[in-house]
Amino acid sequence: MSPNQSLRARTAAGAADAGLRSNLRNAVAQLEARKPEAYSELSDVEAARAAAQRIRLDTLRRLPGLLGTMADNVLDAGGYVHWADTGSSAANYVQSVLQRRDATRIVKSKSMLSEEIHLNTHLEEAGYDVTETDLGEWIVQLAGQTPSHILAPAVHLNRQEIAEIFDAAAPEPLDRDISALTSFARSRLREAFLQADVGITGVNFAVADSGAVVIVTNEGNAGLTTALPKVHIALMGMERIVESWRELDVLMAMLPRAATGQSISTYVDWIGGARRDQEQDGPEEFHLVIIDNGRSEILGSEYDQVLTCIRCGACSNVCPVYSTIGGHAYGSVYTGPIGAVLTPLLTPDAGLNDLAFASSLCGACWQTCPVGIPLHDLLLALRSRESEQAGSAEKAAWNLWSRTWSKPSRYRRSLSTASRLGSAARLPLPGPTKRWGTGRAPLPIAAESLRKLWKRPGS
Amino acid sequence: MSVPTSDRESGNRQGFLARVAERSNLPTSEHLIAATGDPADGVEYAQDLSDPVAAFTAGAEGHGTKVYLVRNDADHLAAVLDIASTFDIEELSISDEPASGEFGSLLEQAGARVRRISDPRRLTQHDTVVTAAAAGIALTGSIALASGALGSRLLTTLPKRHIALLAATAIVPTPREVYQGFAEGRWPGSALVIATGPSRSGDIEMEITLGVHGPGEVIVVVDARP
Amino acid sequence: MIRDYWPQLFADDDTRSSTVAAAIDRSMELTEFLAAQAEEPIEATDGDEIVYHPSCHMTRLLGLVAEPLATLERFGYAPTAHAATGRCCGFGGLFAIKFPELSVAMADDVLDGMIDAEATTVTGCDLSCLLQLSSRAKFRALDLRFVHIARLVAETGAPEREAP
Repeated sequence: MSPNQSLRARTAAGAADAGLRSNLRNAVAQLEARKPEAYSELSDVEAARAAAQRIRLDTLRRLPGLLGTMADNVLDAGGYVHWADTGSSAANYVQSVLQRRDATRIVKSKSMLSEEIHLNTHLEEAGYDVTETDLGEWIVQLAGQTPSHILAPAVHLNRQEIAEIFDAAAPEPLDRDISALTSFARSRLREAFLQADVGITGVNFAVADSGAVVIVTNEGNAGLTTALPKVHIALMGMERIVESWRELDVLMAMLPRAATGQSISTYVDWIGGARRDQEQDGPEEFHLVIIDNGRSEILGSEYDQVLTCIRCGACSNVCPVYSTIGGHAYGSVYTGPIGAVLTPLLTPDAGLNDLAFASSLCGACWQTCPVGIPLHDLLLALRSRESEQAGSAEKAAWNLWSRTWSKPSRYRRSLSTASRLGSAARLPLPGPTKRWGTGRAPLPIAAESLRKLWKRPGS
Repeated sequence: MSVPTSDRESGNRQGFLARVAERSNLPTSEHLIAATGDPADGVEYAQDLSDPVAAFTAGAEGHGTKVYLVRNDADHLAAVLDIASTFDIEELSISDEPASGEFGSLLEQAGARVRRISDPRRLTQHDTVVTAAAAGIALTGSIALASGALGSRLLTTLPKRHIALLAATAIVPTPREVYQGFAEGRWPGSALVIATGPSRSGDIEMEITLGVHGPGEVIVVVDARP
Repeated sequence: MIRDYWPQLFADDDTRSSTVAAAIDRSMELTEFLAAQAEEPIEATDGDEIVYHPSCHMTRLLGLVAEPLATLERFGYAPTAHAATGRCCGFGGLFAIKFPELSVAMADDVLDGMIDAEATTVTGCDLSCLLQLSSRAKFRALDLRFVHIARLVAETGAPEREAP
């Protein structure tokens, strides 16, 4: 769907796409299925959640010290650190490393941050060969699309569509079964790993006291991305940090359980830098790029709890809006409830500030969030911010309604009017009536209000 | 690492941290969940981990790992023979750790062709590798593999099948002990991976496939010999 | 709304703070009140397959999960669970009018779950949810009766109580 379509049109398109809704329903059901069991492994889930929340909030309050310690430890171990105020500073730095190393081929392990800063576009335009190695990310890369879910980027595609995408890159058409498709992906991506000069990853958590980055995957592509090429560049959102292994442990207990109902991700890679003397393998250089790109603006604001997000994707999995419209309708790198809050905050000029309205504020996101982010309240706060920019016609309408219903007599009179007109079957408001009527029977207006009924003698 | 520190740092640290410092002390909205104690004390698990080997075995098998428990030399030999006959091992690579060497020789006697290969391109064609695990985790049935000493970052990720030799005494209760151990330098190396079962992906129609990048088969031999 | 949002809305209004606090204090949800009465439960009647639709605000913000179910049980009803229990009906206030297609699709998810569970009657505590679901059900010509829990309780013919 075109990002230039209005938000309503994009949500309507998603709602009308039965195939997409079925794929999404299936995907989120699977991601949610093992959660109760995974959480039951913790003696006290609420206590763990509270601890995780405290740790994340504490990190935000102590961020400068933690970042300084992290940088010092990385430098002491012989690594490189770049402080990127903006996304383009980060992209330019990455390019400068590639130039210095005469690199041409890059492999990447999944990083939402790299998409946020449009790194692939930047590098591809400069002539570099970039290959995503997470299977779902590689599929959408080949298809020229963007990912539609934090954890399952290709969830909107079925095997037939994926086979067609692979066929374009294969010497001959592939069998339409999942193991044939996977074998093809394995051999192609293995070649890419073996030929790559530089590996670029994101960071799930940086451990300040150790100068290490922790990356989790189920496929094992982070290990190959960071160990085969001679250079490893890790892109880190400035808020994705913990003080020590103690805090890491608490967050790592929550992350896989919230994300996919797993006790632990298949691979947890703790990377302390480049290879040391005597080691058999590993990269020669390790680079940590610490990225702000709008995060410091959010820090200290009424929205700053959104920075405690650990990118588990649980909010998307439980969101009835997300599972109806899918990720692409958000028009942003970040989708689902977290995306609806982050996007207007990180990119206020992208024309996506109305995302906060595409929610019934059901609160399922807040209820499931492993670090207790009150997304439903943040959405409401964003709406309030947006309403301040509303047009004069809308503001006038709200004022009229507010004046009418501020006085008990006027309020009651408006109800009687509605009863009289309603019993003739239509409310006198064309726009909302038509929109209500899109798939719903007209609202029945009672002839008498409850107040009148209550006051009738003998009732 | 001869490049001086100042040459390895770029961007404006002062400006960056000053900007962050200005904002991180402002009062904000905080919807706090009721909590007591030090949040970094760790989480409590409901499982009974009093028998680490049993818990490890259950956890590992639950994640698709094949586990052999070796209590004596006879068990050891039986494990070797079972592996040799069950799994179609054509080319076996072994790590430099002594335990791997011992195990590799036994497999060689049982008919497997053993090579010591370090070239990743060749290694990727081998179907099986034997390495030693630095530690095991009882809670999840995971193995921890460190890159230092005789370890390797690649050996355990490239081939299709990984046989890991784990001393029963090296099994710790939860991931926390591994994070602490590595942070405190208990196992040498620039990197550590905690691996739990075979490599898995659900990216095509949410159907789980194994071995897209890492090994599709993981075998752990738990050595509980005195 | 009252319990969760009035404090925020009146936060800067010193003149009304005690009135507001008193109002909040004596406001309760109907089933919160009914569930607190220690009355003998009525025997269950063989009736229609009834499903209860929990509203989002009530369950997630007010935390009233057990009270409506206890009320239904007390009045002799045994609601059936369905696959989409707990999912938002899609009303959300102006959301229903700003994003009608999305709102209707969300209602359908809930209604489809109810139909699969072979429900004939739907009850709930929140009139907005019931309006949303019943309007969509009517449009789809579904054979479902929607009744607010207050009316359901009134219909069971509970023994007349003495007026205070």
